[in-house]
Amino acid sequence: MDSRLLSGTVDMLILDVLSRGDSYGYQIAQTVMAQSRDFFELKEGSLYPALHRLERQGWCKAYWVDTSEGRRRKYYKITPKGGAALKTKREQWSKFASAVNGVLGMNHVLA
Amino acid sequence: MYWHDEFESALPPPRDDEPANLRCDIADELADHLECAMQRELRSTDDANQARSNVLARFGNPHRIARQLWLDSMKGRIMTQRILIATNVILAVATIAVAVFAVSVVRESRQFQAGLVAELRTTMGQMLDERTVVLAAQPTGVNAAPVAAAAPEVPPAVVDETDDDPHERSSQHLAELTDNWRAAFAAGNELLSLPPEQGIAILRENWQRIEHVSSRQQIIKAFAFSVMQDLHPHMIDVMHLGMTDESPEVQTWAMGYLKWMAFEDFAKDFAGYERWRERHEDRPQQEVMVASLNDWVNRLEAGDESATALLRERSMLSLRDQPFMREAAQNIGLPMVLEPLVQPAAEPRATQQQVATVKGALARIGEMKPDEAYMRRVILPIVSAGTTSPVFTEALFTLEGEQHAWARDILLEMLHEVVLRPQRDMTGDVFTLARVLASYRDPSLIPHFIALVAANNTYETVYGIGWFGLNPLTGVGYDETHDGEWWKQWWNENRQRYPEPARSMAIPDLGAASAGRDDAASSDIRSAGGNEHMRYRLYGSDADSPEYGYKLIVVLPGGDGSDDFRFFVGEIQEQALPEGYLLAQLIAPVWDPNQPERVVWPTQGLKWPTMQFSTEQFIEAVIDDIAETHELNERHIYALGWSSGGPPVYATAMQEQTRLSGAFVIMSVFHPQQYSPAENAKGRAFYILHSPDDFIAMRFPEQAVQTLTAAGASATLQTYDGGHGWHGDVFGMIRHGIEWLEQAGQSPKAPASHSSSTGGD
Repeated sequence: MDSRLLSGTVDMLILDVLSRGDSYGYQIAQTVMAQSRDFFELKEGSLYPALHRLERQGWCKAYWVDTSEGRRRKYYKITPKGGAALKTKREQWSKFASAVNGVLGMNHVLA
Repeated sequence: MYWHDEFESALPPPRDDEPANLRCDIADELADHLECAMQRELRSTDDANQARSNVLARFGNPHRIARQLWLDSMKGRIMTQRILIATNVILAVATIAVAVFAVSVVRESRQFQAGLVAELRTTMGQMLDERTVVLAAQPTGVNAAPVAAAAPEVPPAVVDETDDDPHERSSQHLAELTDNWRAAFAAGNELLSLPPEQGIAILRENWQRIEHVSSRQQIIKAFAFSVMQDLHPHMIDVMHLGMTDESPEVQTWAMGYLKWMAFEDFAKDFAGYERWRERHEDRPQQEVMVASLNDWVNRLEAGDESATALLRERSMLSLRDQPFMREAAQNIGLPMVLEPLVQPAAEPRATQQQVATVKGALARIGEMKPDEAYMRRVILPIVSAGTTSPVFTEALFTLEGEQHAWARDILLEMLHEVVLRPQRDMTGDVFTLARVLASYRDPSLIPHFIALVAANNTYETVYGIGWFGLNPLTGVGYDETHDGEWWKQWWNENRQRYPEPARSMAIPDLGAASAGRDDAASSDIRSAGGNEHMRYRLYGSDADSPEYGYKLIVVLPGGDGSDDFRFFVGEIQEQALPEGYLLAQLIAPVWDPNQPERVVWPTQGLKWPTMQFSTEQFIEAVIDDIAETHELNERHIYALGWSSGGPPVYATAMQEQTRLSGAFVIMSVFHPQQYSPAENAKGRAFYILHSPDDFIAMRFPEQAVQTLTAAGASATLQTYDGGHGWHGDVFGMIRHGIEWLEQAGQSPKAPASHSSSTGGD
């Protein structure tokens, strides 16, 4: 996939996953890939700077959990501010996609 | 932990203004991801190096990412520091300029003043001379003026010198503290090094002068950590400073540390702190701690939830590190109170809270170091239940240390079991068993460890046993090239430095045991209908044919669906299946190099361009093939698939025509648009197993149950803890699911091309 199409959508993908429940980095990466059927060929590690940025922005907050394997695992939870940001981004994406499809004559695909 | 160590070296050198936990947090988070990914890869390959390469290929450069996270976090501080430095430089230059100007002004001023003084003196001298002349001319006795005195001399300046006094020094250090956490912690340790009464007096005197919250926190921490060695007799008094501090953040730290002393969580009951303090006023600190421990144990025994909640603390350092507290705990009877609390660990459906409580109780037991009789009675049953227990690791850790060397043979046998007959991801189990065994400091373990490495030679043993087991006993550092053969060579060259009987021990040959186990799997590879791409293993065919024919489970493994799963599948057949079952393990065909990464089991609804047949056709062909040589009980033919093996099981069981009477699906998605209409599944049974912690959302299995039930099938969803993968009582869960299928399944629709054999239950 052209990586330029992905630019700016990573935040939305992460927030979308978190909107369905608290999650941790590996799980988020796997969910994005499973639900997109691997279409987004993200390097798994590239999620982490985005996750940390979202945390600093207050769109999600983090907490640590001890796993049964003796590791610490950092979970993320979407905040109300993050939920609002996700809603905005979804609307923006929808308008963008619709506009592009309109130009390309592909509006019937959305039906 | 191997991944974790890598990150420490990847980050820039520590800075004074760096948050205390930053690097540890980054390393822990990324290491957890990589470890999860490693476990995923090792399900589909035995080659640890290949697995690691795959993990890194998907993850990216972990060092770069760690550095980026660190930099992103420190950016603000670095910029602030740079601005501060620049400001300081400017200020310094300005100060120097002002100083130079001031010096020159003073110098000029002095000269000017000196000139003035000289003139004044001259003038005064003249005046005095004149007055003397005048007075001399005056008649005596009338307004006689004194004889002019000499100009007074200016006394020399007196310079004070300050004595180098510890009180002054520490006070000054405290007053000068900024938000540099290291300096604050050092100041706290400086106070600890003073005589206790002096240290606490200085701290009380200067507490209000410590400006920064973080500094006050660090000082509290320094005193709190004294519990690990020489407990400061005024630790509670220092915590009182924290509890009465104006900053809630300082109070929070003090409350956390007070748990080790008061055995209460005052965060939930802040007013309770004052009551506790009044109750123990004027008592010596040790007495307060023992009395508080006693109160807590009484509440624990009474089932008080707040007392039980405290049990779930990661560590109670006062119990762990203070002999008088361990002795008090024994005398009060804490081990006996904890004994019933660890029993829920044996329950296969223990809740998360119960598991957390058991883990806490085990941690307290480990801290108290009870005797062998207690450990055999309480801990060994948990450990012996096997690696499927959710608290297996915590129970094992209580056996760490030479005092528990009596458990050596039991744990060594367990390690053999885990390595030679793996039931699930064995990483944590091997690491923990090896570490606990190594803590017994018994060199006769070395040949056994080496034998296990040689028999397995995967990441789990080369690293797990190599680092956690062999390194403490040999001093040899971990190296991924140190496989079984390397260690055998090493033993031959180095055994002489060990005492008998270790020195004379040969390395056991476990290779024969592994081969025997493979034979014991009782499986052979067949080709359904002679089609070389339709390969499958058949288990259980040696058993006598049951009265109404064999029941059959067709297994589609997850991951890459390869033959590597034969050991695990063999264990399913041996440990999970009721009597009278055959088990067929399908081996996923590889149509081209790209296919396994995309679609392991292509179906009618999810095709792969180069596939020669769908997985639905494969399953049916295998059933037909087995039916050629074995009488089958048509009422009990099920497909079982997990992860990537789940969707084709759904697809096959939802066909209009199929010999399947039910399906068992674990940790899988559900995409109904890829399957035949759900109405086809009417009368069939679906048992679905899923973990709410799985990265595959619960909505998939929930939708499956809803859709299939609405279509007239019997469907149920059972959950388990642990996320994606096999966790907990694996074979118990599988057995339970099969039993449910047997009872829930109804007669299948008679397939048009097959005749049903008479069958009974």
